[in-house]
Amino acid sequence: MAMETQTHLIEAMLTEVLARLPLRSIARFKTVCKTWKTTLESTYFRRLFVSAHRNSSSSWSLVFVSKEIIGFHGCETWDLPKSPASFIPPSLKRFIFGYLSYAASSTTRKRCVLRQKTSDNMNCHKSFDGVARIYRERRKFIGKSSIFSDKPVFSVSSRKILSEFSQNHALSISVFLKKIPKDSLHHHRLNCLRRHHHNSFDCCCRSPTYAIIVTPSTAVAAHTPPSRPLRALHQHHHTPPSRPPSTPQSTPPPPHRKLARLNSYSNESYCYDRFGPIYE
Amino acid sequence: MSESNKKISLISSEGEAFEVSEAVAREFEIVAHMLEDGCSGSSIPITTVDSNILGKVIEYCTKHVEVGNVEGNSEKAEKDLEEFDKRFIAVEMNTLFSLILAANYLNVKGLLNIGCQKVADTIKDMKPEEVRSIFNIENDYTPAEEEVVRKENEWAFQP
Repeated sequence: MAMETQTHLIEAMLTEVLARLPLRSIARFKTVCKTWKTTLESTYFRRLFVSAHRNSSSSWSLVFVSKEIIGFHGCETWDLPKSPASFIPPSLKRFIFGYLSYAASSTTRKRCVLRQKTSDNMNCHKSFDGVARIYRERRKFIGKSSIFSDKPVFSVSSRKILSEFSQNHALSISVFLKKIPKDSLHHHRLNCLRRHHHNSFDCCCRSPTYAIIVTPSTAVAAHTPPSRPLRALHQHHHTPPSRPPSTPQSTPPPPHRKLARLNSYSNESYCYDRFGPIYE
Repeated sequence: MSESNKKISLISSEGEAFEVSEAVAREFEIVAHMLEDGCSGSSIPITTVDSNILGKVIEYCTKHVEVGNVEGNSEKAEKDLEEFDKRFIAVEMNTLFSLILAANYLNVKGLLNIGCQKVADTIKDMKPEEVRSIFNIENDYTPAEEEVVRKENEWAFQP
């Protein structure tokens, strides 16, 4: 009897142990048995993982026009063979970083607040202030305060970015907009960087307190229907660029709801393998 | 500070009594709650934990209370405590599992944390087969199914 309790860690304890493993081990242990695979791919586990690694540094890359400016591996937690940005497939890289600009102005900050609320509700990683959303740059607005369309071309979250990546590696990458504490080392490095890359950096990231973070996450699942978020994506993608920025107000409610769902953390487990049209 | 001198008896599953100070007993959150609710006398039965493990958990809590009480030179004390934790947790797997279960039951967060971390560190470089044998897990994949999952996660199998 005593022997049995000793060799059988009850399930909850086992999950606690697994959540403390590096990402690489987690991926490997999916082959242990079916129950483990289900556990390791669950939303609950994902949250536990994030909270267990709250104090360890995340792996991130600051990317500007398909070039990685700074990379920080933080390999202990993630145990990745290379830096996060290098996992982004070139086709997508060009799409994200070449043709589009980041929004780092007040629009984004507003959205960050929204996002923050979601994160708090979901009890996610404290420092993840928001998902980076990529806005189509609109030439005619340059020079004015708002140079970005109000509608994101798509918002990047782990679920849908990088289908190639996730197929090959069964782990995904999220792009987050992370607020960097003023006194942190990262903030210092960003400031140095800012001096070096004066103009280019300013237009990529206006506020030095935010950086685009590419961070790996464990969300992998195929149990949820991909149709909804994809449709929402298509809508953004096909939005005629000539529409005035005020259109979001006139958008009918259903797409709004979809957008909200898109941003929620739990939905990161949506399927991403039919991502197709976004590469157009 | 008369309260800290108060002694409390913790009774193991074999009926053995361990006398500890209230401060130490309060490290067991489950006991702390009982004390706060006033629903316990000076002896508390811990029926699911045997003497060996209970003794160890008490050792852990005593050390942590001691260090917590000392003020000043906190850096050194913290290092010592880390060392202590490391030595404390360096036990064989079965004992470790029992410690984790006890820490979970008694709600000793620090111990639970280092215990789980220790198990994770031990298994992190293992092959799935080794993990199965440690946790007595039966492989319920067919060879073909296992191959599929393995393929999906191939990067994790590369050195």
